[in-house]
Amino acid sequence: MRIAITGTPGVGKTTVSKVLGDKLGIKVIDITEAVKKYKLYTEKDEDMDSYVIDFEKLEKFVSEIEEKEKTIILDGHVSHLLNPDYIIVLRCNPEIIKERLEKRGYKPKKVLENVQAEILDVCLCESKGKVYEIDTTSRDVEDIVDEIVEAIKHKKERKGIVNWTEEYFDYLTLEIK
Amino acid sequence: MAEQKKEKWGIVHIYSSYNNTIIHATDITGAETIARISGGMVTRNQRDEGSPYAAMQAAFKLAEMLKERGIENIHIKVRAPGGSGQKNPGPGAQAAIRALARAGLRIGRIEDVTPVPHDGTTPKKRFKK
Ligand SMILES: Nc1ncnc2c1ncn2[C@@H]1O[C@H](COP(=O)(O)OP(=O)(O)O)[C@@H](O)[C@H]1O
Ligand SMILES: [Mg+2]
Repeated sequence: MRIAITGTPGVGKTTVSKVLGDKLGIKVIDITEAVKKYKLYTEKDEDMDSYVIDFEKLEKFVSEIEEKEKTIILDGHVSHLLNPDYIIVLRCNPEIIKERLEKRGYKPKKVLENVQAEILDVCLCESKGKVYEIDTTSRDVEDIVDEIVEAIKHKKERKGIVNWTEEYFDYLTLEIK
Repeated sequence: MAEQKKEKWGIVHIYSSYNNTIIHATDITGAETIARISGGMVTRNQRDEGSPYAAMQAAFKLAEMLKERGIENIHIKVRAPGGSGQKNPGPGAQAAIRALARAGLRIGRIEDVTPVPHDGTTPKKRFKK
């Protein structure tokens, strides 16, 4: 069984997944880390400063761990694309994501593209099946994790809780270059 | 000498999210806004703002505004997550594009410029420039 923790980079997936994994005693796979460490990519896109994920290799990597562990948590912005049984989509105010990614040292266009992805609900829209969405803005990690535990326990489903398109429209009109 | 009518072009940007569709027309440089309509302006029910129907209504309205300004040719830039492949924009966006065509606008290029979430890894390369 696969539980996906997805959302735009900077939303807090890794922070939340670690606490959640400890609490439930479930192994967490950090997809970003695994893809880099085990070279589960086809090439590097220099313009995006990112490795292009090889989903075939990644799927093989994940299913081998799943076989041993039975239940796993997949932490990553593509985790919802790995046939999970349950998906948690984390959301966060776009301007907070912007600050966090700037602090991470991302180039302006990389920050902007992620901010736009958050405003347009990209990870949510791509998530199929059982989905529970949480707005993490101004909330403690413990608090968020408690809500996730409850959601998993009762297989709760919820989508469409934020709408940032009007308030942050100006970010959408900026060109990525 | 017969006066030659110069074709007027515009760009229509379609932004489609889970809960909303915004259609934004600019001049060919992208700098000047000609018209902007959102799903919220054409439906009374907040839950329907992102629906294909709202997108279609918004597109028809925007097409009228463009024609009033003498713009009959458009390029389209779509930002619409949720499509399965890179070339499939979401349902709101597809409905909007069809409506723009049906309203009689001539469509040039359609470009998918949906943002791709990426940290040090990416599910796909970004839209080509
Ligand atoms: N609930 C939260 N409240 C405050 N800061 C947070 C919260 N969750 C994450 N952060 C901070 O945001 C940054 C990005 O978090 P991270 O878990 O690395 O995001 P992701 O894995 O989604 O890219 C980190 O500096 C982290 O400490
Ligand atoms: Mg992370």
